[in-house]
Amino acid sequence: MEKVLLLSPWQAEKARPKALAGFDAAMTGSEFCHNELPSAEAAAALAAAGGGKFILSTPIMTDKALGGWERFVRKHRSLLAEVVVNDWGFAGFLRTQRLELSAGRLMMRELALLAPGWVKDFLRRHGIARGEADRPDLAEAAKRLGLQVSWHGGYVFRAVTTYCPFEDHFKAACSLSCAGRTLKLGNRQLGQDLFLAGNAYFSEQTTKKIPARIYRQVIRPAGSGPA
Amino acid sequence: MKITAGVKSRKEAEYFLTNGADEVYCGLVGLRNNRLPRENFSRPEDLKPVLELARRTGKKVFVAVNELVREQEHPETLHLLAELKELGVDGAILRDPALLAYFKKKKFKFYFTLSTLANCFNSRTLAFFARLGLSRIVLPMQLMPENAEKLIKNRYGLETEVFCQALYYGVNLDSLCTLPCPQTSENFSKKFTDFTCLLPYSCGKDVFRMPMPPPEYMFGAFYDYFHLGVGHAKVARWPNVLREIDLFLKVRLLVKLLEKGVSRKLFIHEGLRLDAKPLQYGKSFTLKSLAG
Repeated sequence: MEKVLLLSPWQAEKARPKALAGFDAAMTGSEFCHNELPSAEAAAALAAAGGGKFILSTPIMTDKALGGWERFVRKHRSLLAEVVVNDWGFAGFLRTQRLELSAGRLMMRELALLAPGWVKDFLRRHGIARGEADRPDLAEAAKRLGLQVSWHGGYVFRAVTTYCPFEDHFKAACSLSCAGRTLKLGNRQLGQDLFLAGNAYFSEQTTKKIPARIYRQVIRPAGSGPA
Repeated sequence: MKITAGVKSRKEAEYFLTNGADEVYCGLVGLRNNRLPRENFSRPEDLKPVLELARRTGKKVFVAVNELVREQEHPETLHLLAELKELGVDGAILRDPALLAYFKKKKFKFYFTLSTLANCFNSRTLAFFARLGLSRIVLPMQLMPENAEKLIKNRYGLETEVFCQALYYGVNLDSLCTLPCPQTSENFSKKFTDFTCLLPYSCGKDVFRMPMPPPEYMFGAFYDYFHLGVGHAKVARWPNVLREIDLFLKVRLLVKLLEKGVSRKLFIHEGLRLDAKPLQYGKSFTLKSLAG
């Protein structure tokens, strides 16, 4: 089983070779916020620290953000070991770049419920070979679809907004004031805490057990919140 | 700008169609949609009086199939939609790309509207769905006009529809949210006092609420959508019909203001006068329908 270190773009900028000791690769970007596009410095730092390549996570995005992500992929194509995709349209662009792809946690939630025949054809046409999962049922769905499972332990995604909870705007540009911050949110009615990181809400996974037959485990640095 | 209103019964359809709605849409038992079964029409025949009224008044009727549909249900969904088309239903609202692909393969042509739940946030995603045969797109509730121009002025000739976000807004992306919600649970009210996205949360010593944009911004967004050329305003199906009528009448008034050509500043001013507490939609999730 591979081990991948999941770093936020600002953590990636500071990545040193030692940070990746014991890991097969690094993953950065965001599956949830289109403003968390890694910088050129982050790409260079990860490539230097991770054997020359890294995995890029990508979110659902507006047209204004799309241009930046496309430019990043074109510019750093040779450094990308794989791209995690959540946006139907961006998947089409990535197909033209002939990159290895993984269906992200948001896209997996849709793929798990869509007609399997259509999904398998979609995966084949786009060259999607893996699926990101943070719930056992999603891991099982990925296996049924013939995908290798990339398992995110610790937290499960619950909701996402496009209205930035930290800066109160919809813009495709921000000052990343969410960087490094996780808010723990409690309400008795819900029965469990929520964790706000960036523009997404998570809860803790109810089991620490890793599903059987997974391809890789995605791990956050010690002390980091969900991402 | 035309107004589309969601309905749960014949009586509600009559109310909206005779009070200024240009179109109504509804759910039907047997067609997967994102409302509870009790909010749907029971049989295709029940739609006949609604269709007759729509025909007499030159208006339209759509059905919602705005959830993901299991593969084994595709043939039955096609059969039911074909029957509804024959009855005179004008089109269907969908979000499932596999279902759209199935209809295309079966050469079933209908007026298909892409639901807001499809999360189509950019022009590449619009291209992905447009290839499957669409006539209209309902823009995501969390997409704002400054990011929507390419979708509105799209190259496929698709009509566009928006919610009046100042009065009706989803705090998180609906179709990806797994927080407990009254829309998806019959027993919701026994445990929760409100939508869980509207509850106050403790956050250290502070109280945190999942944020919403300010009403001034949202009224401005509706104004901008109109001036960008969006052709339809949507008033969603609502369990509490009195609340929906209230929303509908406000949207009707706002559309009249837009068509009169008021300035942006005046429009926002009038919007805030119209509803001093917009976005309080979670407070009335009790089923109150106009039966019939």
